[in-house]
Amino acid sequence: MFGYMGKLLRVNLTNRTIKDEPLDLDLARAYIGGAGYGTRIIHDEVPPDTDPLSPANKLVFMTGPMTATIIPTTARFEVCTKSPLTNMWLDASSSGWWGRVFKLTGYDGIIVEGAADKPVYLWMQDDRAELRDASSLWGLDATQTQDEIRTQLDDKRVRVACIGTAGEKLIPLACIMNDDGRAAGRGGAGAVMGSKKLKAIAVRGKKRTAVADEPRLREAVKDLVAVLAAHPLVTGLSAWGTAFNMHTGWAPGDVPIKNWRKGLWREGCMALSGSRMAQTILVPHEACQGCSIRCARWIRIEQGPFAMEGPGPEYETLGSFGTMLMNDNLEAVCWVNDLCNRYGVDTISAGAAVAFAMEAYEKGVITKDDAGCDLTWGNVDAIIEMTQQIGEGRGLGALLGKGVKRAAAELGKGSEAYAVHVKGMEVPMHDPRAYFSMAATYATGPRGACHLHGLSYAFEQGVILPEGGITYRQGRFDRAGKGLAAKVMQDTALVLNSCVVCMFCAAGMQLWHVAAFLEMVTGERWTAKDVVVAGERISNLQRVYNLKCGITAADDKLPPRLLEPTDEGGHAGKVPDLAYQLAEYYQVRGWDENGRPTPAKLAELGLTEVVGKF
Amino acid sequence: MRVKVTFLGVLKDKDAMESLTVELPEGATFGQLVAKLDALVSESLAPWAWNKEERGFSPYILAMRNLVDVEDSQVALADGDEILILAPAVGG
Repeated sequence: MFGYMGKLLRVNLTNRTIKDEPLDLDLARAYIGGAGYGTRIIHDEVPPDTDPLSPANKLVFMTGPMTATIIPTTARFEVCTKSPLTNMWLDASSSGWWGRVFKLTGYDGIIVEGAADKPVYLWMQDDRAELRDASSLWGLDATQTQDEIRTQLDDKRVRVACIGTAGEKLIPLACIMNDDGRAAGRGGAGAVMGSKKLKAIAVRGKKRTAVADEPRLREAVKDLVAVLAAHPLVTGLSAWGTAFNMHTGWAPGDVPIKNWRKGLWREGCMALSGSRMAQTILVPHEACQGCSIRCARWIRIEQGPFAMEGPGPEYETLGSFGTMLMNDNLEAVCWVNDLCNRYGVDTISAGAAVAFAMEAYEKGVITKDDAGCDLTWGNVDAIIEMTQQIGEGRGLGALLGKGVKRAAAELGKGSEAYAVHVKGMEVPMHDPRAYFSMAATYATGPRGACHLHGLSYAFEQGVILPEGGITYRQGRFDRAGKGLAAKVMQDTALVLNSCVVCMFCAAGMQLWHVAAFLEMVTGERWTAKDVVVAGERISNLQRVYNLKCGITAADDKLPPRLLEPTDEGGHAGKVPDLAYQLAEYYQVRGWDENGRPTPAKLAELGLTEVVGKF
Repeated sequence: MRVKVTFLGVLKDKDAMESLTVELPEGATFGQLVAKLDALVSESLAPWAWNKEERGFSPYILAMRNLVDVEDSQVALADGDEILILAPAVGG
């Protein structure tokens, strides 16, 4: 089949074997690739009772049929595993260059299993793969690791996905870093990599992705690029990056403030906005490979305590280390962002953990002796100190690095009330009181609270997706329709992460476009209906896996903080009716009232083999 | 009466638009403000933001009056109001 390299690399670190195995084309047709194909591998090969940090867990790096084609934003890759943060399903995606350069070595994916007895890294050049000693790299941060491997290999064009010191220390907030601050960020995939003593995967591929209908694809890509350039969701991203959200998001109350307690902080948001970044510290830099949107930011701070040059913070980081902490110092957020990139720590969860700690400090649950600093809101020195403690796994940071769910369980004293997470995953920076569909999206997200498994609030801002069932702009405070919105966007996100293409590129696509691109790339017949079914199939298999891991409908909930109204800002007095949303969600999913896929739904999706096994 | 109109996000090119103060008759509605904006700023807005045929904002735009969503052109405005015009924003 066109679009695929046709093989996977299976690396067993315990016995140091490396072997090729064919890509299963039937599975590729059913699950597309990327997150979808990875779902099938994890479901089939990682028993649900597996300790995520044991050699029995597997770490799957996957590309999709669109990876390394001329379609914009297709240099991405997916990482699939069982999460040490949530103890259930995890997929995390990253951009930059690594996904493209990896696929051009001639592989669609890598399955890493077992664990090495000493640090190693995997070096892949075209069809060759070898494990190399990484003893000299162990202890380096993620930025140093990438530079050092390129130096050792004497090739600046080598691309490296690696862990920093947080992954080495098995911190559950650890992520996998690549290409100047890009990250497979959420859920602790970096800790899984660290548990296997796999420091990095360095790649240098020069093959090409063969597509079925290149002339037609070229024309379609021209049209797509033109559509993207004029698209309302892309204009701001191109101008200001994702920090664009901060400029607008304060008004409807989308931006979380002070650990989700306040509804309004206009001045703080504006001080952290993409507009302010563009006016002060933004400098021109390359985008992710093949991307016409160019949302990635590069910043230079010329002087002062935070002087630096490097990748700029995304909106999520500006929220988690900015507004969540009552910190309006843009340069300080940039500094902390760089610290996290170097440690290899998820900025969303780490910032949320610091916010939790600040509230615990305010309430007297944590003392200055516990923290080693004065954890008052907005204290930049304390924010930096706590970030360092998390990244280095020491002091109070060692507790916070386990995530707020476990931190609250250990601290007690009522701190569970302000540990803002779903299924152990800290909630990202979009408030479900501002856009009600995010309540169902977070509560049911397959990896916990996640905005990337469903940007459903796009449907509350004018985006429609008729083939998915979204035919009109939803009111953001509507009671009905939110279960459907969550379901449609979750499925669509999984399809995009299986293709693998960036969600921002999808702003210019309807589902029939996705089908058409799949057809042009693979040569297989694809319809919009096929795309919808593939998304549902992947979602349902992820749900089955999570049910096997012990998740129940009782876990499909929001933290109490997000169901308390605030008295100010653009969502004052508003809270979503989550019970209503969940009933609708289960119904449109074809699940029973306990949130379990019915045999009929599984059969419809070609998943009869899992019926009765969860 | 006077109302302040503030534009949030990128509504056309690369920069934020300047806020402006609009003079309206007492008791004017949001619809009357939009009619004024047609003359004042519609040319500064991207095609996805402003519907030239209907002379109004597109469904991508959220308008808020003093941080409350404006869902009806008949909403009455008052002196000193701030009207926010928001571009859509997703991602993080």
